[in-house]
Amino acid sequence: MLEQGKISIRQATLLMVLTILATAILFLPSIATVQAGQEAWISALIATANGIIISLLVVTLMRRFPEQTIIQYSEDILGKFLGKIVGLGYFWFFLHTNAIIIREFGDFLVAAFMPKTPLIVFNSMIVILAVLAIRSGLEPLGRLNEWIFILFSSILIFFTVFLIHEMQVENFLPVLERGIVPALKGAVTPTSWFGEIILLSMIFPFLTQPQRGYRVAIGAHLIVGAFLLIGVVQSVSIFGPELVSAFKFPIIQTVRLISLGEFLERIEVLIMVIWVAGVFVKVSVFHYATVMSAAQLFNLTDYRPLAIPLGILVVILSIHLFQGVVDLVEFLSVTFPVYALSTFEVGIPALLLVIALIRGKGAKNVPNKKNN
Amino acid sequence: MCQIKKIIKNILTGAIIVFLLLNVGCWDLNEVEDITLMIATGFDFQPEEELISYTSHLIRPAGLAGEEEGGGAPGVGPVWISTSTGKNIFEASLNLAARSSRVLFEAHTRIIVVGEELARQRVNELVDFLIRRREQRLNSWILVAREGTAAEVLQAETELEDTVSQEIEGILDNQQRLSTAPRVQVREFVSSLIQPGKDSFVPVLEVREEIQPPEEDLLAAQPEGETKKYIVLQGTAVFSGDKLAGYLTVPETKGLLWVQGEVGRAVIIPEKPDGGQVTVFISRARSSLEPKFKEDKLKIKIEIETEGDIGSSNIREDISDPLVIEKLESKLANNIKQEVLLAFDKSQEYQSDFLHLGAAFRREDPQKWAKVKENWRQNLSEVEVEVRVITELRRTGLTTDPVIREE
Amino acid sequence: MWPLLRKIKNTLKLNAEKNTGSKQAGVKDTSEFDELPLTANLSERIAQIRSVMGNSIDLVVREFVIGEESKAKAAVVYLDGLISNATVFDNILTPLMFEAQSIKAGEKFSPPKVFKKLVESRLSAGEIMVKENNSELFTHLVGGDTIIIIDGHLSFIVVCARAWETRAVAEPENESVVRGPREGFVETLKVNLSMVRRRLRTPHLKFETYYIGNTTSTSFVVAYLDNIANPKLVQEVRERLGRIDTDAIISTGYLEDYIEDNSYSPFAQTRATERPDIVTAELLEGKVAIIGDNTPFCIIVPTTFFEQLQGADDYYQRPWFGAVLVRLLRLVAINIALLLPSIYVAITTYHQELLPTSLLISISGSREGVPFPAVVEALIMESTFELLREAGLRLPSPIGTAVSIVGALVLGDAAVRAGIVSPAMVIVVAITAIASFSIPGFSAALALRQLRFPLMFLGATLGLFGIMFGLLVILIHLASLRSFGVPYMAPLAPLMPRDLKDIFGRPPQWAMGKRPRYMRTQDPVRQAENLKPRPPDSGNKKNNK
Repeated sequence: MLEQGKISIRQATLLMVLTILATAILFLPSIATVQAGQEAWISALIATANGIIISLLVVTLMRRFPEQTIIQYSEDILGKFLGKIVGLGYFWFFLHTNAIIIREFGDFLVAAFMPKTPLIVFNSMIVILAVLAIRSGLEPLGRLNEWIFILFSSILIFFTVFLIHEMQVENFLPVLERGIVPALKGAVTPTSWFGEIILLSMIFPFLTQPQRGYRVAIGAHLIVGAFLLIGVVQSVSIFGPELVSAFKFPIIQTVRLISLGEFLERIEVLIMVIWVAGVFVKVSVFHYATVMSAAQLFNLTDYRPLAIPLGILVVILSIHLFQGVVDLVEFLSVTFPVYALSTFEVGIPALLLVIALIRGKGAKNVPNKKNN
Repeated sequence: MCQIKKIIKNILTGAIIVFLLLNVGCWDLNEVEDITLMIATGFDFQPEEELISYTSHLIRPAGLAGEEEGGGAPGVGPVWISTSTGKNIFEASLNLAARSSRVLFEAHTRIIVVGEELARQRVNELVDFLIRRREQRLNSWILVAREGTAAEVLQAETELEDTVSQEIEGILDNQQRLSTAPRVQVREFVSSLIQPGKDSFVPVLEVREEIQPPEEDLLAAQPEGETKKYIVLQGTAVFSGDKLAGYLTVPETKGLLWVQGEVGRAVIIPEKPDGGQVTVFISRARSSLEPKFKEDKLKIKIEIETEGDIGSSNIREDISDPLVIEKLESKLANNIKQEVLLAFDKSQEYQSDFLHLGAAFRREDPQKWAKVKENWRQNLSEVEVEVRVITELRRTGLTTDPVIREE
Repeated sequence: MWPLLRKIKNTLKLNAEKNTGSKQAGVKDTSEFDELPLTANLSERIAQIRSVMGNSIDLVVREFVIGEESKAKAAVVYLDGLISNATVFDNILTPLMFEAQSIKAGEKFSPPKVFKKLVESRLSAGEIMVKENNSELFTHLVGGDTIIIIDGHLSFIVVCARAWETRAVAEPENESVVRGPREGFVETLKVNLSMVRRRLRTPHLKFETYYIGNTTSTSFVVAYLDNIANPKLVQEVRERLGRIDTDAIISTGYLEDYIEDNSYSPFAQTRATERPDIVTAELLEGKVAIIGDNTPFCIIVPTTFFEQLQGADDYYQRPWFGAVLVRLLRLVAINIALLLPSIYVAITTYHQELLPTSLLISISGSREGVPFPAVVEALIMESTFELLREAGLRLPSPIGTAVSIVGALVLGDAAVRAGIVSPAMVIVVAITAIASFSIPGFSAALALRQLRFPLMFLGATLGLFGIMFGLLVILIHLASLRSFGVPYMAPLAPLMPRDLKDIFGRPPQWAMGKRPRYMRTQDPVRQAENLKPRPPDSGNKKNNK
């Protein structure tokens, strides 16, 4: 195996949580409110439900091949040639999505906090961190992430608690003003974020107890859904849906309102700082997937030498993919969901599963591994 | 030989890395002494010249950190009040920056004053400016300057604080107890502006002059008989859509505040024209709107619940008598009802839905609301309003019977 | 380009390479002396010894005759100063010279018999060995043993009668406690071992000796409890020690460099202590201690980040609130020592909106007239402070403390008045310094102090984001660091909730029922359950489980 370490169920779950949550919580309130107005919270719930369905599908596929990543068993299922093509596709998917994420991250920081700093600085710094993180394998990242998750979530909850007195429930009424359709529309993009659970397929072989794979995926989605709900509720109840859809990053605006006894104010920078840690985890996981898939595609014995070159590639890609923020947001809300969901997140895994069932590939039951 | 080459290579690599790192960064660097804090901003519009005026209070650090000079001499003081003009707000702010030797730091702005003319004509420009700027906070207080310009307001003199902006902040704080004007943050203002069925309202500042009585104190910088400009916070400015529609007097403002559920403390109940008055401190107030669509009639019931304590009384009756209390309670309820109705009248007159009745209708039944929302503001006059007030007087201060009794 | 990348790759490689060294520990390389011709002739031998040892003034050769009637010539060779005169005189020379009657001239001289007799019945010393090689002769001679050579015999007798001047047992300076034992290790291995032995009175306490260093041959003892410590851990320690093939190991500090997992890390992966009670506690948790000769510092492996922050005091003071406050304070102190200057620089330079308005006004007012940007100010102050600290260490104690305090105060004050630095910066630096002093564990504090400077640079170039970047780099490093297989950040990462209570607080002894999970000991249970003190039962129910 290219990877020596093993990660536990809890670590894997939290890794997936942070992978999905880090950017979702920033963009979801605004994107969902544009379509769904005050029903954005329903969008969040719908998206979570969709996510769970997706994870059921995807994990079933993974469980049939508990020792392999998707790159490896697509060769198994489809034969060498087609399998490699699928693998290449996934490599591209991970690389491309990572570039998008890094771009989102850099844009956010530049727009909100440091407008004069060139984008490449933030992008390359986060990639440097990701490269450092995966050099030692998956385990340290898993360990560190347990702690980052605790920090991330407690800050979120802390902020929400302090804003309770600013929330106005009327901002959620009337419910279902225009029927359920806007809420459904608003759930499309978030579902594509939930679909990022496909990354689990690159980590699945290294779980200590692969038979509990369902727990990882569904647990992660539930936790992400809960936090997204909190995020949406917070923004919409404070500002009202119209204002939220006008904002690019509603979370900053809500945090700015926190005022504790006149001296703890204007603390949105602290959000940025914690959030950087969250995005770091996400980018690291994606980069790990990218590098690992490349290593498996080319049958290398060690994935480490690829980390730096692919890192450079992803930074360059992140800068040149989009012209500006408007481009980025449009891509995110319109193109990405359709493209990602239909192919790599749901479409191809479903196809693989069906073919695997037909051809009888893969194990039916996952052997129970004892926890070390 | 090979060793030396290796060493040199390593050293060079290290040096390159270090120099690269040292060159990095500092794009957004702003040393503390290079910035000046903007703590209040005023926006005015001069219709004749089509110019926007941008006034701000900029802190002078040296003046505040050390000794204070005896206030009064213009030009030297803790705050530099400067005004600049431009064709739109952004340009005006740039022109201000052009005059300043330091970088303007807007993040600490707490007070935003809007001149009357601007409120009448250019609010959407202002709103865009306020939301889009990175450093503006949405929880700054926004106020309107009545019959005057924001610049005048910001140049008024202060009583207790160093700067006008601190005065305004303090007075706004006190409003929680006085309820002569609402407190509105920028985000509430904008949110009411863009939500359907709502209109925004903003407290009003006026600049008044009074003749300064001659001072005995030799250290006073004021020579005798000079006029002193001071600010007063009173009343409300209401908007219809994005235009200023009119002003509310204090009782009408009270009515507005009752419906918003944000009344502070004191209410005065005149007992009889000659009989004395009772003041009540309101400790809790809650309101709820119950809209009803009746065929094509729109009815709304405003229900207000409030609790209060008796603050002072100089009526002759015995207020420890429950019957008297009941009478007072119904008097109070009537008072409140009158105030609310006054506010509603004005709402119809100005065609401004600052009581947010429309939003209540929308929450109740969105489909029916969709039918009437076209000319909602004009249709306000068609709405039937019923006001029901429940009051409870709980406590009577530290005494019960009036000390001087009716004989 | 590629060599650069390779270099980066090598320096970033954080995994220790497992070494499968096969060299046996404890074998010393004095085989050079085996080349000397072996001889049974006494005077030749003595001449050999003298030529090898030179004419050292401390070499003593005492020739005598065994027994009163026999003519068996013998000699006692030792190095003066390393042996206890009393033992040599009373227990070796006296019996051999006066009481060995049985060796009569003419009796059948079978060497084994003679030796046997001498060794078994004549020499009244404790530790006696019979050896043959020349190399071993010299090894033992320089080790401080006494050699008895008998004419005509190739073998010789080695008697251990070591004694030398040693420091009195005193409280270690760097690890003093308010309440607790005041014994500290000294430079003599046997004394140290005895201190540990006294505290762990169980046959399970094992000592394994190694002589490391080709020229110094320093003895190191690996101590562990064989019913608790994980045998794989002990084996790993043995292997790492056995791998060392170098000239000199002067103290355990040198040893650290050879056996630790990652020498590039600023964080120490072994814990050094002078206190036997700490060693005892660690051994009971399943760790392995390496006690060395000529140094009072004993190394304990493996160790985690949080163990370095524990002081000896903690366990002797009140549990819960007493020690909780202290432990939390230490955690806060770590953060302050590492982050405060950089955060100050970052906030005043990039994120002024974080400060409350009035504070910002006064800071900016106080910085009027200061010519340097914040980061340069910070650097100046911090470097000055480090210089003062070093100076204070070098000077003898009364002057040292005075210089540090006075220097800091006066310099700071004068600098503020001269307008070189702002008063806020002086405060920041002072608080940082105090925080870094309050961290127990010298090496941990040192690591944090070093890391402050890069963080300051990062904070000055990219604000809080830069600091977060630096912090994440440090955290990644910490998360992947292992000390002898134990993750360095356990029990925080990986999260082991049961052991967390010992980091953030100190539960009372009755609550610490199990040994730390990350040590993977053989016997994780420390004590019986239900040991919480209770008021006596009413009625006649028995209390014990």
